Amino acid sequence: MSARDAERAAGLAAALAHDVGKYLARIARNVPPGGDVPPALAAMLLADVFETHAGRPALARFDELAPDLAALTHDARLDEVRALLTTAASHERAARDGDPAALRALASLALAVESTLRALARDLRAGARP
Amino acid sequence: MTSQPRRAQRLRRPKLLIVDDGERYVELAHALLRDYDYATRCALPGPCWTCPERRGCKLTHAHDAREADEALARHPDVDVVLLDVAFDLPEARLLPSSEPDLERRRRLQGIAILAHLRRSRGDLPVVLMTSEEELAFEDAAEALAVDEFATLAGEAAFDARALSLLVERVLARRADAPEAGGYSWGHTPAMARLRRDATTLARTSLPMLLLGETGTGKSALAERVIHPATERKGPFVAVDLSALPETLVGAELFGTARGAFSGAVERAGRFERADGGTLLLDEIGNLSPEQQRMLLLVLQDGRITRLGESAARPVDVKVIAATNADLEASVRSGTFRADLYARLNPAAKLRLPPLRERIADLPELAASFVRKTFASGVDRALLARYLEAAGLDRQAGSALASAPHAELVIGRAPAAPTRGVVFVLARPSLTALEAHAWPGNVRELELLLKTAVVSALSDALAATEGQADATPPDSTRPASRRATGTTQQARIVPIPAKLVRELVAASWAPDAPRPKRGAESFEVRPGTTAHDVAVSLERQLYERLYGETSGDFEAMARRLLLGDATTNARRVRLRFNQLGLRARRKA
Ligand SMILES: Nc1ncnc2c1ncn2[C@@H]1O[C@H](COP(=O)(O)OP(=O)(O)OP(=O)(O)O)[C@@H](O)[C@H]1O
Ligand SMILES: [Mg+2]
Repeated sequence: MSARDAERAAGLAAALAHDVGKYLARIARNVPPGGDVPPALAAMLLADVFETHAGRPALARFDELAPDLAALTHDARLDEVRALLTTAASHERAARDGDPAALRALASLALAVESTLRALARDLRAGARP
Repeated sequence: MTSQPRRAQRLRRPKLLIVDDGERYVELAHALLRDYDYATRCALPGPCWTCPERRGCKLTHAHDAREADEALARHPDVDVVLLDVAFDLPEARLLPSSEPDLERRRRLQGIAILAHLRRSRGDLPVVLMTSEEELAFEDAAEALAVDEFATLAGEAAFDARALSLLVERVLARRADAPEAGGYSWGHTPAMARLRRDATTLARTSLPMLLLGETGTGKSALAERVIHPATERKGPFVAVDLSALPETLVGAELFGTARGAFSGAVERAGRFERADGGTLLLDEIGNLSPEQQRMLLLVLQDGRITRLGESAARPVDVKVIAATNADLEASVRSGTFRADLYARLNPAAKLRLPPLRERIADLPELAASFVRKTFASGVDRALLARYLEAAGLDRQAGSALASAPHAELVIGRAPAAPTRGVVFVLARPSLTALEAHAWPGNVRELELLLKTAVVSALSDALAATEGQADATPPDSTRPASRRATGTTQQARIVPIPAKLVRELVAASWAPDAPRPKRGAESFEVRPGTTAHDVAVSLERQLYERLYGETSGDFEAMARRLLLGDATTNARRVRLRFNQLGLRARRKA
């Protein structure tokens, strides 16, 4: 990869870490580990996973940014994250109906997405440094 | 101030300002961080979610730079700012910038807001709600690396527990920085001892007695060190007893009942206002016998009686008494009650050394005053103007604004400073400062340095603007001036040796009326000893010589003692202090 592409890849990964990872995890982080999602947080969690980007889900934002990055670097973690986000989408109905298990699943998926994207951003940033 | 309900004072909690384009951080704080107060752009106190008047209004934290300014103007007491970095806002609401890439401007708006805040608030702690991984741009990370009061939240950005720990750490760091709350300790053993004793005694309920010449930092110690160390929730209240007419002291300290004397209104005194907190009684030696009696009563049973009232009210106040007079001598001569003196815990009195006894600390104090001068206010605006005029207000090779910064270097100029302005004080100037007697102590030093750096910078600004006027307009465009070698050179501002000499020479101007010749008088009271008489006469002699020589101890030594005047000046100065005389402060 050229230095220019490496810089671009690092920028895209940072954007993913922010727009998808951070927005997903900021509520999930506050859920007591292994416990139910407190009612005060449930609505915020749903909004962050399914409506953050002008009413669109995190998966939509991911699909805007990821292809450009995939074109620059083949990193399996991008596929992993997409699978996690698709699983999250499959829990939407139940979670919106207040099913505690679905909400718990959303919280842990969100954390997994965030830590994977953060690690990816860190690696690509390191790769872009001269 | 006085109308503030007592409960509010007791519950004062750290105040946070959230600057975020969205509502999520505020909602998170709402749900999980309820131990803090929050600054909003609304006149009503308290956080939005407890607001009884909230009728469909949106949360009123700051969503952009302009709203952050509004909130800070309304709440100058904000302790920590939580600042988001990416702001998804219409272009009109972003800060103006020469950066053409709108997406990049949005992603880094928080960094621009930080630089904007820094123009007026150099040392306000800011936590950036982001992590290195999300910062898409290296130069943003560099901007942060040089800002000692900004912290990256990292993963704590959205973990409420981790975030509150981080906020606590930021607050604590501010409290025990080398200049904790703006108090410089230096490295002399006397100050180390003072620091230890002051914080230990602060935690007790006993009164504290501070002794030291004018300007040695007694009031500052009480307010910035002792009061915070008491961990009392009430306010710090100071009263300068030498500035109040004697007839008003009682009403001011203890309050009045309606009609206590003609025109008296129902009013709480300073003791009541300091309830739950700390009261500094400055120049305690000035109290009349009746006031001394009343003060003794308060110290004995923790209750005060408003003038004109008969019922006493309980008050819980940590009392700090300060003076630059010799209280023991006043006790001996009968003007200060011995039992009151004993109540002030004289065995544990703290003595603040005069600056000349801690002259090794001068460089550190000087450096801290330079930072303090440019941390806020008009002088910070002057610094920002200079950096802009010299084309130094951007980070090297970047469109990102950098925060105004100033520091002092002693000796030679650093080869290539990369940020702010470096003031250079040459060695001989330092020597001149160290040789000065500093009768006004730290206050005099602070004033002198502030004058020196502000004049040096004003001259540099005038020269830069003069140059800009003299060249054709085209070549003065910032882009062409930016980041050249000569431009970087403008970061170094020498403090001219001549300026220092002149300031030192002008620094001591006694303002108090000189004792009239032949006016020496001595009131002989019953019980006065020959020793008292001798000391009193000696004091009058010293005082007169001090006035006549404009505070020049060497000149005094020449008139008082035989032998080398330079060596003797130390003895004269020592005796001067022993006599309880004080160097008068400059007008
Ligand atoms: N150790 C210090 N660190 C920083 N600033 C100090 C220090 N000591 C004194 N100052 C500054 O010097 C000035 C004078 O200090 P302060 O008013 O506390 O002196 P003081 O002993 O109370 O004088 P006075 O007896 O005249 O009331 C203040 O501006 C204060 O901020
Ligand atoms: Mg004082």
